[in-house]
Amino acid sequence: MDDLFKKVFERIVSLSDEELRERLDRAVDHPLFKVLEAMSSWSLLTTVSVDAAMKHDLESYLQSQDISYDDLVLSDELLAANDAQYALAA
Amino acid sequence: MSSAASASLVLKGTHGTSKTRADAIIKEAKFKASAEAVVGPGVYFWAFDQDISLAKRLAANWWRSANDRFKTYTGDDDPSLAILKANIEVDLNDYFDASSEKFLELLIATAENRRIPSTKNDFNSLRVVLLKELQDLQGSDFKVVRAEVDVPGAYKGEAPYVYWAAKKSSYICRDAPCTGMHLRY
Repeated sequence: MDDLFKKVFERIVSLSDEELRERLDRAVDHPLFKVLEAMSSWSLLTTVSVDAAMKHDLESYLQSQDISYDDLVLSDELLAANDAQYALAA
Repeated sequence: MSSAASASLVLKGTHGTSKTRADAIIKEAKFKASAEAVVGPGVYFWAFDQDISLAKRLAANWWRSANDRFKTYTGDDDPSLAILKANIEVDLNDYFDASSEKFLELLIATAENRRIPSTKNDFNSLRVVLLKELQDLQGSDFKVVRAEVDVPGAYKGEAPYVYWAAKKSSYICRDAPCTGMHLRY
């Protein structure tokens, strides 16, 4: 991280929870937020939890892609194995 | 950023709108940031470099999406599709790439530290908070911000590569110093 980005990080880290919440709430009027929201593939789900959004994404994926449930289970197993390797390496 | 010697960039983008609005933009030779825009005050472009084909499709999809979801062009004399190609001229000091690795690393580090992303909206709000902090520190606002966004929704008959691309760069302009060229479908 360069100096400018470090300063930004330090400023955000030093905010109280209330101050940060206030800034996050104000950000929703900004064009960058608006365009990300309007273009989101989860556009109807941007206010739900990560778990709910991932469930929706997974359902869409199953409906739209040529992939079976077994393929997904296999990929989960491979990911889990990789996680274990990653944890060992760390 | 702010200390860099002044140099300019010319970015290329497409903008989907109604023929009525496109005619007005061409006549005035200027894009106006509309406060009533669906996605907030600003002018929005799909980025491209050499090949305009995907950026044209996305501009058309945006026009369809704006019509279907927000009735944006209802009331225009001619609400049918027009696509503008524009060169966006911006000083390097006024440009920020919010899809750069550097910014994403800052975003993730901050999100992890503050345990932010309870929802996708919160995560996107954090992007804005960080962008505003950068602007505060450098003492001026960016005029053009590049961001990677999801491609607009599916339409029957659309080429599959539009969706496989998954993410596409866009330019978000406060005030767009552009030269436009009219392209009509």
